[in-house]
Formats: sequence, structure tokens, C-alpha cells
Amino acid sequence: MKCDRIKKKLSALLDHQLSGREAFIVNEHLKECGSCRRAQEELAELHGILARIPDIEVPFHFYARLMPSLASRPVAGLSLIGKLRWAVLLAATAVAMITSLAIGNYMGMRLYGIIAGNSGPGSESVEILDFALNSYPQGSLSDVYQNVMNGAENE
Amino acid sequence: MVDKIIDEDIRVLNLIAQGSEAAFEQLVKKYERAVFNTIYRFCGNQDDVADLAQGIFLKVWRNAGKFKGKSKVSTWLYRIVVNHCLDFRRKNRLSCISLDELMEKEIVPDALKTGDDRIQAQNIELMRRAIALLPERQRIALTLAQFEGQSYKEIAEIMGITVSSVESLLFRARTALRSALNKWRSNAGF
Repeated sequence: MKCDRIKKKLSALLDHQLSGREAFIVNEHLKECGSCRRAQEELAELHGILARIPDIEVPFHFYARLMPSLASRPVAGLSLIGKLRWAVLLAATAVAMITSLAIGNYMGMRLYGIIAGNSGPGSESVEILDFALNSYPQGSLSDVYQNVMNGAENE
Repeated sequence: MVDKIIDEDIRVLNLIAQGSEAAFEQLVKKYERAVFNTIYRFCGNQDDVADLAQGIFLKVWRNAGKFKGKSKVSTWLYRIVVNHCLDFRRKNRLSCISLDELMEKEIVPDALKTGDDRIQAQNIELMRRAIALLPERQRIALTLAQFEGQSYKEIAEIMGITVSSVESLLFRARTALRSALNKWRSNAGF
């Protein structure tokens, strides 16, 4: 092997990464070539300096600091079926929420229509609704509805 | 013996994939020192090491289920470390000066020229900083080979390159460091 190729192998020789045959060829060359031997000595000195660069210590509380971040366990580990189940559950929840909002909106409009239709001018209707809500602040929507209806009938 | 260690790592990673915090703690304790020091050598300063290590171990926690078992767990982990550090350096645009500039700027106080131990200490600190200024791929290869004792085959797997490319990167990295050290000594009058 020529010196250029030998010098490129010196790093691997130092790291014990050459095959037995390659290491033998390089070592034989080093016995005879002063230039390559100097290059190898310089590399060995550098290796020695690098080996003395100190490690840094891991902070004592590192794992304790890491723990709170684990709370959000991902879905990544689930199988395809597991992921589909999650997707269906999320979609069903979204549909249920939208439906509830639509029903609530419809009932509110119907209630307002009944009050307005049975009691004349709008301002009076609002007064009746206020009265009902203030009288039964803790009641369910059904209680309030019943109360309004009773109030409208009494008038 | 080595096979047993590899099997144990895979068993631990499978438990992590099922949500075992105890297994995760076991893996963190085993590799935290290697992860911290790889980050430190790769990035060149201590300030961001803990935050980066935290990000890396969280990726392990989240992606344990994606491990295919085609490589060693340590190889998979080092790949996460390398990619995480590369992302960090790209986002933060680190490494502002060249190796040559570092060697020219680094002035040796006269006091340091009097004792061999002090010169050695200066050499060590200089090389630590010089490693962080090597081109990215050379720095990765050197860190994994020199400090983590990874074989060229494992480094090739981690970096997604051939073994002969690893050999070439290490040759260039060490030649650059050697030249920088000679230049600094010549400037300092040693």
C-alpha cells in the first residue's frame, strides 16, 4: 500500500476497526516508513488528548424533572384497530355535542315563540321570562318552562 | 453476554411501549450519561444539555412502540440523539467561528507555558472546543467513535452511510484537529 492509503487507515487502526489482514499490512508498513510512523505518533498523541476530555455529570434530579412530561402518553403505540376505536369515539363525541347544541337552540326558540305568542307585546314576554328565571334559579329547564307556561296561562 | 444485554434492552423498550414508567426509568438510568455526554460533545456547551436530553428521552417514551428491532436499541437511541442535536443546531444556527479562527484567537497566558500539566489542560480544553467547530458529519462520527466507543458499522447505521464513509469522516476530523493543534502550538511559540 502507498503512504496516502496507509495514512487514511491510521485512524481505523487506532480505533481497532481494521480487519486482521489490514492491520498486519499497516503495521508492517509502519516498521519501514518514518513518515507514516510520525503521522501515527501524532495521531496517537491527539487520541490521548481527546481521551482526557472529561465527561459531564448528569444532574441529580434529571429523572424527577423528566417525570411530569410523561403524563401525555401518546396513541403511537396503539394498533390500527386501537387507533380506529379512538377515531370513532372522537367522532361520536363531536356529533353528540353538535346535536345537543342544535336541540338546545331549537327548544329555546320554541319557548320564546310560545311566550311571545301567548302574551302579546314582546316586552311583557321578556318580563315573564325574567320572572320565571329569577324565581327558580336552581331549577331545571323543565321547571322553568313549566313555570313560564303557568305564568302565561294565569295572565 | 452481549446478546443478553441486547435482549434485555429490547424487553425494556417493549415494556415502555406498553406504558411502563419503571421500565422507562431503567432505560433512562442506563443511557443518561451517554446521552448527556454525546450532546455535550456535539453541541460544545453545557447550557442546553439537560433540555436536549429531556427532549430526547421524551421521544423515546413516545416512539418506543415504533422500534422495529432491526438494530440494537442503543443504535436506535443514538440515531434519535443525533437527529435531535442536528435539529437544535440548525434552528439555533450555532458554530460561528472556524477552527483556524479559534486557534488564532486562543492566546496562551505565559503562566501556562511553565508547566507540562497546565499545557496539557490547555490542550484538552482547546480540543474540546475545537470538536464543536468541526463540520457536522465529522463531529458526529468522531463523537460516536472516540467517546462512545461505537464500532464503524454501528456509526454507519446511525448516520445512514457506508463504513468506508465513516472511516473517511474520522480521518478528516482527526487530521483537522491535528493541524489545528499544530497551528495553535506554533502561534503560541511551543
